[in-house]
Amino acid sequence: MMTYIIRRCLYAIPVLFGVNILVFLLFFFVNSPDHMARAHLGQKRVTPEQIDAWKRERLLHLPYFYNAGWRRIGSLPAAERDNTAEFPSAGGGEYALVIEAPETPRASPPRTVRLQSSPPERLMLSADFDAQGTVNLSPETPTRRFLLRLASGASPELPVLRITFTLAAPAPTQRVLLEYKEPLSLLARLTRTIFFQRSVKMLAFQYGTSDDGKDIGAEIMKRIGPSLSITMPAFALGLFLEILLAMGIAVYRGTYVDYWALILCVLMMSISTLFYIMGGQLMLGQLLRLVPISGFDYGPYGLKFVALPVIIAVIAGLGGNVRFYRTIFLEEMQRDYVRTARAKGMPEWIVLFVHALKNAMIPILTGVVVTLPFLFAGSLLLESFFAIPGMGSFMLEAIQRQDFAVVQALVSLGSFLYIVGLLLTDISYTIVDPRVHLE
Amino acid sequence: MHGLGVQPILLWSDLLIYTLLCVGGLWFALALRREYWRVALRQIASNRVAMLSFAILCLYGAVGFLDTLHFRVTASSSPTAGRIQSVLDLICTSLIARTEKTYSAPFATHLYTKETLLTPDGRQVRDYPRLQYAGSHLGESHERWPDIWERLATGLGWGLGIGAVLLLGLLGLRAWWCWHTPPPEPAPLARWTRGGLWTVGVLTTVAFLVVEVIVLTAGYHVLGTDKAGQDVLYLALKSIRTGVIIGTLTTLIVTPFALFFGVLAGYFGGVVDDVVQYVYTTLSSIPDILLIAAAMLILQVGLTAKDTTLSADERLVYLCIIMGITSWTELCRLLRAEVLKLREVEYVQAADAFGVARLTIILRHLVPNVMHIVLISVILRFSGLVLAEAVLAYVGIGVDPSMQSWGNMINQARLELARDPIVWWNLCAALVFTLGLVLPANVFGDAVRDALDPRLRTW
Repeated sequence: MMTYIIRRCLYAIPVLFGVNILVFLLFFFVNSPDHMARAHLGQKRVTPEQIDAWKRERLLHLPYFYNAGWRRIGSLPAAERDNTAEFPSAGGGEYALVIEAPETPRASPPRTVRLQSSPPERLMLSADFDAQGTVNLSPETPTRRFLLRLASGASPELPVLRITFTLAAPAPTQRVLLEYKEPLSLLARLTRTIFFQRSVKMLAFQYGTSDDGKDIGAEIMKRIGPSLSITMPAFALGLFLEILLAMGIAVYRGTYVDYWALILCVLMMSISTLFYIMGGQLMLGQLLRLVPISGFDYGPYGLKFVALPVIIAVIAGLGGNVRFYRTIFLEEMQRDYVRTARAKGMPEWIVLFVHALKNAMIPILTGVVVTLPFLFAGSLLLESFFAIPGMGSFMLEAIQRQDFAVVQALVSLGSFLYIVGLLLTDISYTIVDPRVHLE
Repeated sequence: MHGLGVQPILLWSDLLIYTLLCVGGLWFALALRREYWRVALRQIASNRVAMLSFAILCLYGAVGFLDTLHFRVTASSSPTAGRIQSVLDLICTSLIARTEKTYSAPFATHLYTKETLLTPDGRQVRDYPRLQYAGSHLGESHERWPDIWERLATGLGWGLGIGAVLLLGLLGLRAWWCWHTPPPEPAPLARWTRGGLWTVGVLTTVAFLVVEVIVLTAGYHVLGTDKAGQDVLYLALKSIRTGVIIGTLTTLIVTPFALFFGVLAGYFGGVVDDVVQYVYTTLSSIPDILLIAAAMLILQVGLTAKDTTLSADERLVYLCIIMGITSWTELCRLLRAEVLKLREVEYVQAADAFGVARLTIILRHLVPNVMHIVLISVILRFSGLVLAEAVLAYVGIGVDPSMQSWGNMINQARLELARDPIVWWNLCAALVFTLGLVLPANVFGDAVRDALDPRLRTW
């Protein structure tokens, strides 16, 4: 039993990791961080520096999976016709000269970049450069990266690198960047990446900050309470009512009560939850004024706000579940032990409520357990309609604000809850039903 | 066609629907050759409630199909030149043309909001103005109820007429049947007649309702008008195609993948099975709505960055694919479990022992024997998907806001309910139309499942 649970837990790890990789690919590969920055900052008149700042704020300036240690030490904007700048180097080691491709290659003029070092003898350039350290690029050349090297010299003062950028005509979105390769430890190379910072940390519930600067983890903790105040009573009340109704219908099996109850169940299943919510708000809140239409309050005063959403949640789930539980009861009632109990002369109500109910609870409970963790996730529709500051409305706000960090955190949390639910189901099987032996 | 100034248009979703119809028809023809399917079909046909549901579903399907036949009027003299239209638009031309100023209640002759009016003697009053089109045939008199009753009676007359014609047709058929069948077969004849009467009754009722709506629509806005003054009946009819597409295409786009991976995992087992299981566990552990939201958000960002937009139709297809990705795992799991069982069955083992190629075994013995599960899951998922569309529209990640759908109607109705006096007909129309599709779909789905595989019964 214990080994089985441990094995199931171990199996959950690759699944969680898989979800993380999948979500990462979905969020950061389909759209590059540059795309996201542009979508957020607007299309027109956004400078590369603004995009860099946006990315840096969200740790999106890092490489995806592996950080080789490249660090930017200089950036030369190409706003003018001729541009020259000097950057102090970081000493001996590898450097890279990155020449960004123009936004619109057709309209852009050819470019020339010249690289010089102030004690010139230490600079070693690749074959792409000519003897003067000049490289010529046509307008169509994509973003290119030239590796170069500064030999470590004896003198303590660091050499200065000088870049001259020449353009036939100004083109404001191209830049020349100078990068230095920092020696990093293996750990730093793997952790200073988008994947680690934005995905792996979520496995340890480190969710980072949302786009408006709030700590997502703290926000989630704050919102779980209001969510639970709706989902828990709705769950308990709903389960109780459903089982009661299903048993009642099962007692009248094969009669018109059964027939019409089933039709009512299918009818209730066929109505969208949105209608229950809108109808409930309209009838009880707006016309009869029994409860406030929306809002939330902590403590006993919150009861009047919680009542209507709970009722609606119960009604919305009633049809499908009553129908399902009825089948389970009917199956149980055909078993031999029920016949034996009746043959012994047991009163019918004891047979139903003691013998049959106990056994029917096995499939019902195990089916219900998988939904238990999702009580924490709240209800998206109810919370947004009733203005309850819970997890569901958090999710909805994040989606509508296009806050990727929050959506990603909630996806991660949601899949974690699902896996916990599966685990609980497996465990509850062994506890409730002694016939089940798990290997 | 060009001479008429009409050019047929094939949208992506149209293409998918035609493909679906072709594949469905082909499959039906193949299935009818096998006894198992014929027996199941007979069982469904003998279930009256299921057949009634099927008739309603067919009506929805027909409207959706009419809305799928798209064309564009190229003749520049036409007022609708250059716009993509469907045959349904053509049928509803008068409904589209009779656009009022703003909200009006069902069967109303006046607007729902007060306006400053000029009386004939030059005074200004605040009152509800007359509608431009609805009830205009009444002239100065405001007595609409006699007119409505009259129209209802006309519709009833038509309905009775259609019923009588159908009944005569049935009697004729029966006479023909008696004439051509040798005498000692009375029992199936009696059953046949009862079934025939029932069919005539259902068809008459459906025809009666359709005729009533047509007759009333000619004079009034049967379901009122929305904020822009458009007829709500027309909007609800246009929404049928969206709902049906989301309900069917979503499952069907990804069914081949589910079939492929499910059968593969079940038949080969081992590492293949592990990998497939891992993939679907991973996918299904992401909450559906979040996966859909993430995918839609990413699409939006990607499009903004590339400075392009998606047409409403492309967005619909994309949404179907995304929703399909969240829903194929369930089917894949079921198929894998079934193939796992089938692999041990004698005839598969025998085929294996005879050295039949694995591909042949899969195609001849496994795939045909799990097709019922595919059909059941497609039909049972249908209603859930139609309802999900409304939720997605509310969250803002559903179909394009410019596209008519029940989700968008409900979404608008949210604000209308907060008005005083409330505008309720938009919501009610969406409720009635979704219920009219989802309820029969649920009933019919249960009947199909019971006929094909009672073991899958969950109630």
